[in-house]
Amino acid sequence: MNLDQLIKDCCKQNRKAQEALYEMYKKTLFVLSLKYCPNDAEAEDNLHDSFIEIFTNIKNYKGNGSFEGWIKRITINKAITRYKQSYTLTAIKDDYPEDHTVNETEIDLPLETILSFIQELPHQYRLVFNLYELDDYSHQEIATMLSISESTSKSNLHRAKQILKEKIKSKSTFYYSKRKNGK
Amino acid sequence: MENRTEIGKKIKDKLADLDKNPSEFVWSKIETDLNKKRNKRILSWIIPGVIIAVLFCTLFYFNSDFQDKTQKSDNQAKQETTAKAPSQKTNLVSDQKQNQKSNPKLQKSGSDIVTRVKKTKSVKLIKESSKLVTSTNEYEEYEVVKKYKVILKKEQVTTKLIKSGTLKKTIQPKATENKLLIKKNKTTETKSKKKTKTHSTKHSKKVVYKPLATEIPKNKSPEKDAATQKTVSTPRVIEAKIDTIAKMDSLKLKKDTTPKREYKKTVYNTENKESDPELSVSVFYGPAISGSLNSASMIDPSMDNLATKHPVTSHYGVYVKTMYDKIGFRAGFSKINLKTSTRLDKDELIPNYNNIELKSEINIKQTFTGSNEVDLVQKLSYYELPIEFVYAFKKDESKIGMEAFTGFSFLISDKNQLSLKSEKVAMQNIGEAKNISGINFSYNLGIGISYKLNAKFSLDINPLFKYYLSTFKESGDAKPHSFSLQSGVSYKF
Repeated sequence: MNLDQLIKDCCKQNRKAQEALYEMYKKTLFVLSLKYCPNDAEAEDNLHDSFIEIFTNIKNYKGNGSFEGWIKRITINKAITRYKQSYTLTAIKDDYPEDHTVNETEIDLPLETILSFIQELPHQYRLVFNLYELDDYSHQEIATMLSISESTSKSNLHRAKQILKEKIKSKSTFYYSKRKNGK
Repeated sequence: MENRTEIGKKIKDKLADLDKNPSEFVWSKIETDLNKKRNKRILSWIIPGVIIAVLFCTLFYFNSDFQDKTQKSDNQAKQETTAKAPSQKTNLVSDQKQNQKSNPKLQKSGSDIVTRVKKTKSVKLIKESSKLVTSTNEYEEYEVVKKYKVILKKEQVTTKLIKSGTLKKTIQPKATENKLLIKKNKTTETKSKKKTKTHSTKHSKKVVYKPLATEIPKNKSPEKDAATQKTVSTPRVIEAKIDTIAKMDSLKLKKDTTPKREYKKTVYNTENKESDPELSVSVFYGPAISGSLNSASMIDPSMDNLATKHPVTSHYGVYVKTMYDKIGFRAGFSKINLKTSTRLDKDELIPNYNNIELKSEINIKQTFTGSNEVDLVQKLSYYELPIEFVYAFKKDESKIGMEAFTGFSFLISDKNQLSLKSEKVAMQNIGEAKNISGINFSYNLGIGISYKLNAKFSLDINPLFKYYLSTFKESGDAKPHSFSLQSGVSYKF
């Protein structure tokens, strides 16, 4: 079915159209939720809340910008609302080291493992890392979205990367030693 | 040399390949929550709507009842006032006598009467004229016309009040007491009748008719004082301007009888033509049939082409009706049962219809093996709260009355049941339809025919058509409706 027609039917609260729309975007939004939430169960809750919000407010979508972008923003905002309360202000100085590079071989880990590293990050670090690195928001936008200062956003990103780097390194050592022993 | 890359970019690239689906129950949870939201939304409109409608009807009913009572009490009060007037007049005349004795000046001018008026009242003499009608050796007859303007203030409400009433006074110089004869001038009385229509206030304070008479001193001859004192116009507190004409009836001089006063009972025109609201209660019970205006199935679109039957069910309940002349409202509580039977293909009993939630313990194939004619029966029943506008297009003294009514019903689902039956197996409950909404609305249109048994009781028969507006959770193709014949008895209070 045509997306425009589907949206129109969803505006009329047609349940079949809503289900079709859900089927169309459930994977995209679930993956997005997984990155922002600490585990699968919370990601599903976030997906549920996001779709309820989408179906309730779909009549407000005027066609400006892509529909996918609109529903992604709703999902991200839902996740932010979910974890914003536990957000702690941890501003640090701007002179933190910029080296957040890893070897290509080091990061050659299974997808699930990398995802779990992100999910294991503290809420505040995970939000900033996702927004900045995965969804291309600027620090200024992140600061506004999370009601923090830009420096706090930068520092949180730095800490998030540091934690990820350490985790990837340790895991990769373990992973490769295991593979080596296996051979 | 090792190829180093920025961690963020690398993770982003990696996660782009992430492919994971949520669990199956997420949609069912979303659907449940959306249904709850819809019901809440409907209720958020319906509950205030019903409350407002009930309040409006109650207010309308009690308001008209109050007005009616007020009108009745006013009429009663006025009648009492009219009846009491002679005695009051006598008292006032004697009061006036005393007053004039104490203040001789009052006897000489008509404006002195103003001093008798209560402080809350302001009386103004607008016009005064006297005309000599007859003059003989024995008497002179004058016609004195006085026009008053009286304003009575009550609770910060200014009311224009004018005094009316005429005293005809015959003076008998030789008599020990002055005897008064009060007679109303006919022309004045006509005006008075028109203008003394009830401009009653809600406080039902009685405006007392207080004629004031001036005592004529015994030592003065009627000839001398006739022009100035013999005729006194009596102020009467009413809400209008009228002329007062006082005549000195010389013929009464010859009669040595008790002063005679003639009072004509004021007939108040009832401006308020609104009749009493009629309140009646009806109980009814009648047959009902239901179906879809198009051929679409209420259970599943794939059953649209199957043959359906519409068994007769029942519709019963109670109504309260309030009628204001020809228009009115009725509201009530009832229960309506709907049933549709669909003949299934015996080779395909309950295929994968999306809208049927089967009971887990039922094994349909096993139960109905060998049956040739299998019917799927859908039973729905609703508790109904109707609010309808009624127009009586035949309402007279004859025994038969007719009215039309239209309105809406708020329906709460009581039963949603699907059953199978065949020539071999009795009705077997198999589950329920998933697509039926718990809350429904219907548009009602009907005709009421009544037959009066006596003043209180009447027999009713009301053919009623109902079109259901939100039977389904989703927008279904079927257009459900029902037709019922409400028959019962009404009791009029």
